[in-house]
Amino acid sequence: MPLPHDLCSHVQNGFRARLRRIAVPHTTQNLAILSILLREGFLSTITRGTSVAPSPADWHTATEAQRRIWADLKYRDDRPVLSSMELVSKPSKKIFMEPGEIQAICSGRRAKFVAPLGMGEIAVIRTRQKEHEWVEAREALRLQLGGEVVCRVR
Amino acid sequence: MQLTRLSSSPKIKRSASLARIPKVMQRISTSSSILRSTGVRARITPAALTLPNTRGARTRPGTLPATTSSRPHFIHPKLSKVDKFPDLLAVDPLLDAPTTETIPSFRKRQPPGRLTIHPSPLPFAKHKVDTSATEGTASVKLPPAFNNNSLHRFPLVVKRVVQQTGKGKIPSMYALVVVGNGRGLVGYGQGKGDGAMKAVDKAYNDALKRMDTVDLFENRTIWTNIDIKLGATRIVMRPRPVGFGLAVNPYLHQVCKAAGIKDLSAKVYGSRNGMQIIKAAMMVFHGGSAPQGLGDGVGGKGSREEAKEGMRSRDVIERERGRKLIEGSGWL
Repeated sequence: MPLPHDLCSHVQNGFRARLRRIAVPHTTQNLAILSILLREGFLSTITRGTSVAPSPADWHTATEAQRRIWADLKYRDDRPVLSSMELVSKPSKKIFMEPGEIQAICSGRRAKFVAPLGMGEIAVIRTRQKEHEWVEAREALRLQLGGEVVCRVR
Repeated sequence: MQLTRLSSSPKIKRSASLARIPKVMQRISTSSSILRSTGVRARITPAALTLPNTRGARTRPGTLPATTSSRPHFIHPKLSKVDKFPDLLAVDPLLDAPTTETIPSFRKRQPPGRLTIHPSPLPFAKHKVDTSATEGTASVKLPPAFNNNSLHRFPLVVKRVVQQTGKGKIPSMYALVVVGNGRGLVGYGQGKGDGAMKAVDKAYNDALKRMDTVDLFENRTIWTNIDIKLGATRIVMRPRPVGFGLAVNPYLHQVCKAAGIKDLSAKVYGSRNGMQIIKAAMMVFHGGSAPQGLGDGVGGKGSREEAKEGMRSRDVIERERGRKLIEGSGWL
């Protein structure tokens, strides 16, 4: 499974290059993180498709290597809506947080050398629960779940 | 009374007789024609200090009492030394301060409501336009809303700079002035001149042209933590609660005061060059509203001062994402 860093750089570079939409490999990890970005308002659409074009019909007939997820990027007032998407937990240093520590970073306090979330900033957390595997930081707080803080988006 | 003697006395003695007269009387013009017409007790007083003498007026039998008498008298002896009274058409900051009333709540255990009444400018108050322009210097004309006194004006950097030419050194003075109205408008300007005063004036005019709004949270602090780097100067700013004050670098202190930021915590890392600190702070405060200076070829190159993102308010972020920044907006 590719690292979340691939998705972070792909999305960030797409916004900086002012692309209309980007195509990322079709994996459960990418689908989960992109759907969180969609819910929080960073993306306008996500669609299944192939390496050629976004098309749910073609996705069914395509092979695994050709499958993609297409995400439409958002811009407003000549500015990209997403300015940075950075990894928090890296392969060199993994960061796992308990619900109390997640509460700290959501409340403007530092935890485990992770800077607190600013206004409009979100964090994507991967939990061990199958039903709520990929959640946003405040959602994890509400469900009282802890896990790996994968990335932060601003 | 001495005044009658004054008209008849020769010029040499006049000064001596004037010395014996109380100070109030000395201000009165001692033209002889007036003294002759009004008689013995001639007291010429300012009109504001006089009252129409309606009561106790001496009337001749067979005539109605005069509504205005030719014999005015003082309101109060102490007020005779007042040159002018306060202008009641203008709103006085001390006497006409906003009044606060507490309204008890109908519900139990609820805090009382507070109503603050601000005095509005009176409909017949005159607009005082300052039309006196300084000769020689091309100063920027401000709209009537800005009086020269109501703008914060801080010359923060004044230094001697030199232009080296083949024939020698040409010195001049450089100034950086920060200007603000203390309520969300701030700008900085730079100027050079032969002397410090000229440089400061040029910088002040430049700053007035470059003023821009600052989006503030509750009109007192910034919205979120900010980290900005300009060259070797790195500034970290943090919003703080009500009453905290400004725990910031001295240059940032004046910039915040001019901008109207009352609560802030900031730390400057690396270089503490005054010019760079002020420019970095302006990139943060102005950057949110200004368009990104990418340089489209039509307007020219993008400037370094507009390079960074800057601070943006909550409603700007909400509008661009299309949802409120409340807990659960992403999953509910």
